Amino acid sequence: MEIDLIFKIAAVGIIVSILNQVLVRSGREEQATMTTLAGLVVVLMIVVQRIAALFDLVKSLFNF
Amino acid sequence: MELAFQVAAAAIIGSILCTVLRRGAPGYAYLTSILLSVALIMACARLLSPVFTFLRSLQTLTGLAGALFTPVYKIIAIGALTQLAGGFCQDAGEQALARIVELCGMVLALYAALPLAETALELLQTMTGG
Repeated sequence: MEIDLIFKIAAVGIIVSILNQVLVRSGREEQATMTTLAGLVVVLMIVVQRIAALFDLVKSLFNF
Repeated sequence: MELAFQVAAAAIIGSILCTVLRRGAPGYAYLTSILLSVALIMACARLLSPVFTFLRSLQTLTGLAGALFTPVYKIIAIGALTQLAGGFCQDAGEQALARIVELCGMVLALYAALPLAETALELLQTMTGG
């Protein structure tokens, strides 16, 4: 099972959250927003790939 | 049986992770729950393959054309995908989007059932001589 991937994404989320807090407290709010967005885009790409794999599996199971 | 324990344990751990992430990074909590859901479905969906093989052997026993059963499988797949997508939308707080996804699923299921309905109508017409 792909539980490792879940933990990796949770770790990315926690790191980005901490970075966000540090950057906001030091007055660099634009960089904080950009960091959060960049992390979200990276994680979103991973999720989209897994969803595509799921849809391929459904297609092959139901013989479409 | 082991897979059942793994699924339950993964779901519980995932929920705890999402609770922790929601405070600092709610977007990541949502993406983590989507990814975990997809991983769990993929782990269990592979076990459906022998079930479908059995269904196809039952299908050949009936002696009916395979094309009659394809709409049934399509409608099952459309229903499952619609429920999944609707659930994700509700998790994100998009109730309207979830309703629209369900509505689209209903429309697609009706369209997928159309060949079957047309075949049934032709059969009725042949039987009644109309």
